[in-house]
Amino acid sequence: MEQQAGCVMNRMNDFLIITLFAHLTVESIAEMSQQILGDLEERYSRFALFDLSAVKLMDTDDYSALISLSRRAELMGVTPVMAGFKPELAAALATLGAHSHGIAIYANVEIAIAELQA
Amino acid sequence: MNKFETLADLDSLKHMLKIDETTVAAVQRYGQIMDSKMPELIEQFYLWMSDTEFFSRFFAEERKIARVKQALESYWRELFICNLDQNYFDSRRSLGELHAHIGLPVTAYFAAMDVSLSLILNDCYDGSLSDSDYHQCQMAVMKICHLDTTIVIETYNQIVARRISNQTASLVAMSTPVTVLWDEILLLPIVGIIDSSRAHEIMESSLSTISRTSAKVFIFDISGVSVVDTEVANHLMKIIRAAELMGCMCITSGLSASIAQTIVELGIDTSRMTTTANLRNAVELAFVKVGVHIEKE
Repeated sequence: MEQQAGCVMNRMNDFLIITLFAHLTVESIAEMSQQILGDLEERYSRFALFDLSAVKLMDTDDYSALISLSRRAELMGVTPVMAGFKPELAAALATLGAHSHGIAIYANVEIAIAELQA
Repeated sequence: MNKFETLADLDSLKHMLKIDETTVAAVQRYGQIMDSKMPELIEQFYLWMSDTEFFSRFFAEERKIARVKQALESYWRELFICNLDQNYFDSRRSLGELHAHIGLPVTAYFAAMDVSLSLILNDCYDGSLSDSDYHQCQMAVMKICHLDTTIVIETYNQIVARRISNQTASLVAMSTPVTVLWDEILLLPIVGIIDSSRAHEIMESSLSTISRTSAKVFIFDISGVSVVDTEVANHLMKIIRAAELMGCMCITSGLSASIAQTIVELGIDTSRMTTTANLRNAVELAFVKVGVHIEKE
């Protein structure tokens, strides 16, 4: 387990599981991006799984920064996946016009791992 | 909370109606005249009331009439003692609660107050006061009656408003019956008119059920909805996007031709919307999405 600014990273088989902290900012996402992309490059993970179950607050800028990070991971041949959106956060982001941008999203980390390993 | 819960609220009401010590003294003075006239007042009032249409509905039984007559006499005696303390206001609030409880129409209460005032100030008056004193007493009694009416009606309205709000909450809860149709599949059949508050309620209950059940597919069957406007259509799209963010795919079934036309005419982005012609097709698609295969034996 490795703690970075704004997240904790865990590795499991083909997965890099990135558990994001309660309050994300564009700056904290930018700061963790280098570490996450570096780790993906080094260890050849197939999936970057962003666990948002602890995130209570996020605006569209933060969400766009997260999507942008996912896109960069995708360009490196890694499949970005998100999981664990709370209903209030999903409702708030949907109200602001955010959507999945084609990234696979699962109800929680367990379901995501089970589905992707199947 | 009742608007007249504390003496401070009541003091402000007295101030608003310009009730001061002179008013109280005038009411008490008039009360001395009314003391011996009380049986006449009650009898004449009941004579009037027995002619009204609500009499048989609310006061038909003899035993009840005797009890209400006694309560009425206490009410007027209390008014003429005019001790405007917490107990006085509590008794007026209780009257409002009682009227709301038995469903006595507000019009009947106003009519009864009007008739009572006329009996007190005209029919039962013995003419013993000077014109100016009678006028002062008349104004004072009317002010206290207005005070009573305000408290009674305010209490009545609050109880009725609370009842309506509770009924609305029950109706809203019943109007969004999110059902687990199968493992990982939820169904919400929507019937009737969707307004903004109902759309908000649908969003809240849908997302919380998706979160609780970790559902993968959510079916909105809107075949029972005849009209949507821009706001509601946008709200539905918001629910679809939010569900998607929670890892749940939404299928909308049963869009009527008029709703489809409205959505297109309003220029709403439907690219994220999965639709089926009817609920049957939606269920079939949902089964495919969760990997369930159904075969006839």
